[in-house]
Amino acid sequence: MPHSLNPEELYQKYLDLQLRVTRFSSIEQELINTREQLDHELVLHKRLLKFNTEALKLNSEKEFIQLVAESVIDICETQIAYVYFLHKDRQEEERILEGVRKKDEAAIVGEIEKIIHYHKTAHGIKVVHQSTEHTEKNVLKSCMFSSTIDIGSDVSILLAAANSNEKAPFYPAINDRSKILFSIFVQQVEAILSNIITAQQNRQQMHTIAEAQIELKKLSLIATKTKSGVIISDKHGRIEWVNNSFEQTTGFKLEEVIGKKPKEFLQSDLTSLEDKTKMANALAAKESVEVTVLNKSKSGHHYYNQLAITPVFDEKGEHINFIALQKDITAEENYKKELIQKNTELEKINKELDQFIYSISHDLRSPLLSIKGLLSLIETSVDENETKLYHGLIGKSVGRLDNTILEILEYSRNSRVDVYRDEFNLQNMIEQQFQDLSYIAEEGIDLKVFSDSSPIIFSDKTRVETLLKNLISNAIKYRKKNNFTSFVHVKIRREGEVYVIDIIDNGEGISELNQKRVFEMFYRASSSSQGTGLGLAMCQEIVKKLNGEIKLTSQFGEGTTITLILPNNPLNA
Amino acid sequence: MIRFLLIDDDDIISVIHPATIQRAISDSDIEITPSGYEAIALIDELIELQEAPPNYIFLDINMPEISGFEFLDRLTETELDFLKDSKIIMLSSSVNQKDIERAKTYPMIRDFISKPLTVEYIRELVGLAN
Repeated sequence: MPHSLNPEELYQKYLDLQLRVTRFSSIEQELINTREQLDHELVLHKRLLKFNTEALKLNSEKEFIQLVAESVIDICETQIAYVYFLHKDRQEEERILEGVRKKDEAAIVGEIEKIIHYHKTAHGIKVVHQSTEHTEKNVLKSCMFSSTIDIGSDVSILLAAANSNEKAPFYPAINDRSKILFSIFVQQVEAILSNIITAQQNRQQMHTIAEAQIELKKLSLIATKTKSGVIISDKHGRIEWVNNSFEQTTGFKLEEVIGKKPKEFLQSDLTSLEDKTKMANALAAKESVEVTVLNKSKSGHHYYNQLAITPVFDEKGEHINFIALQKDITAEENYKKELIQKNTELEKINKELDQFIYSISHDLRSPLLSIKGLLSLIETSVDENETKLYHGLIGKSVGRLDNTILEILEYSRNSRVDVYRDEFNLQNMIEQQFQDLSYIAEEGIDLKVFSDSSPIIFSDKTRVETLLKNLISNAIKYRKKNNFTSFVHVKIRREGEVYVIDIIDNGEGISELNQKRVFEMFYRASSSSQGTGLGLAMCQEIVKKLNGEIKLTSQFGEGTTITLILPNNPLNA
Repeated sequence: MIRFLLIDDDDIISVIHPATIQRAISDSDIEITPSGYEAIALIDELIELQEAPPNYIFLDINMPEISGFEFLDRLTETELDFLKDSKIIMLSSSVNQKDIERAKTYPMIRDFISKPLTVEYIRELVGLAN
């Protein structure tokens, strides 16, 4: 025994020991408490971490604020969570309430918002404990809320957590610790929401850019590939860009025209002033305009340009460009002109046809009506000589009728039958005709044909025959009556590719007034004429078919010379 | 004595019509001219010689140089006054609606008929029918 302790000392030591044990166990208790607290906080931080992880996966702010509301309860360990979300740009307002029975929602939202409004905070977190005195009036025991947090310029969020009087015993009281946790949580929410919004904006921008790119691609494809010429000019009308079709139509390359005004090199002296003015006025007034103008390409070739010019304005309404579409419509214009011309021709033909039918019916009826008159005279005639005279006149009328029909047939034949070229001797043909016509030349008229050589011509034999027969018989018919020195002389000479035939007579001649009209259809110049008025009109048509010419010179009372120019052409050209 | 003036370029008609008139009326005086110009010259001559105007004028529409209508258009005041009691009958071998319409615009035109003239028509015209 090294030491022997007296009982007093021993008791003192016992007391000390007991004190130590007490202290120790209180420390132990404290340690246990602290550990539990730490465990709890670890749980809360794990929850916060889980919230972060989940929140970052979300794309839409709607899903996010729902998650926020649920997480407030988990992390801050309060009964009630409230989230107010405002999207100013979209004019969307969202209130989410968690941890409340449906029927209580309206009352609780009202009270939370009243508290926020009354105790509002510009920064950080505010904790409000409501006095127990007014328990009956207040549903909530305590509430903490953040300031309104702006994310960018469009989005705001405000969070609140609260406990109701009713459920307060089941939840930890809102204290500094919960305030810190709430504060951390609010910061997290701010950071994540701002991420989501930015990401969303980025996606939106990317989308817009992508769409714009597609549109631009399409547009430039159209502008480049369209068959219409495209000009893009600045607001002064100076060219910035033209497409392939423009280059092809005008012959000008982009490099040559860039910075120039189209009118400087496309307008021609033939462009009408009216069109120029119309275009200039519209452009000055910055209005759309559509005109068809006559333009000139680089090679000097003229074309009808159908232009549609539209001014382009930017978002602010500022005039920045002109876009011009141009189309070469020369073919259409020519077609239009051709149609108008054809129409005019048709109208003329129609009118001629009317006149033709009128004249023909007249010429066909005249001899028939004469026959009718003669027959009724014969019926009542008692004089044999008279009857004989009337019979003779019937014969003459029949001859005229026949002649008219033949002329109509010849006329129609000339206009319908194709030209057929053959080789024949002009002089022989004329001599033959002199013989055939001798019955009307009974008084011994001097008929002669002169030619330097044997006039062999390649032409349409039937047509030339009709032509010469008409002209020579005219010359014979309209000789001066009772003149024994009447002549019809035909002179043939070759001049290179053509034969020139003069038919010269010393007959009645044709007055100047009539010279202009004798080639008209059904025009009869002489009162001693019994013709149809078709003869010379047909001669004119024949000469046209043969690509020749017919000229008439005459002195009234002296005689007439008809000059024919007939091409000697072995080809059917 | 009834006086007739025939204006027609058709040489056969110019035989038929006088013969028809002679058959219808025994006592007639018939002048024939082949054109409007010659008719005007004849009328002027009648005025000059102070002879009586024709009672009836048969005027062909379709003639060379000037038509029957043009002949009427060319008559002077003096000539018209001379012819104020003459009855003008237009003749044509083809009766055309346009010509009928035109004839209506001339008050001095008494009738418009198709060729040839008949005995019956002339008798009716001069009031000798039956």
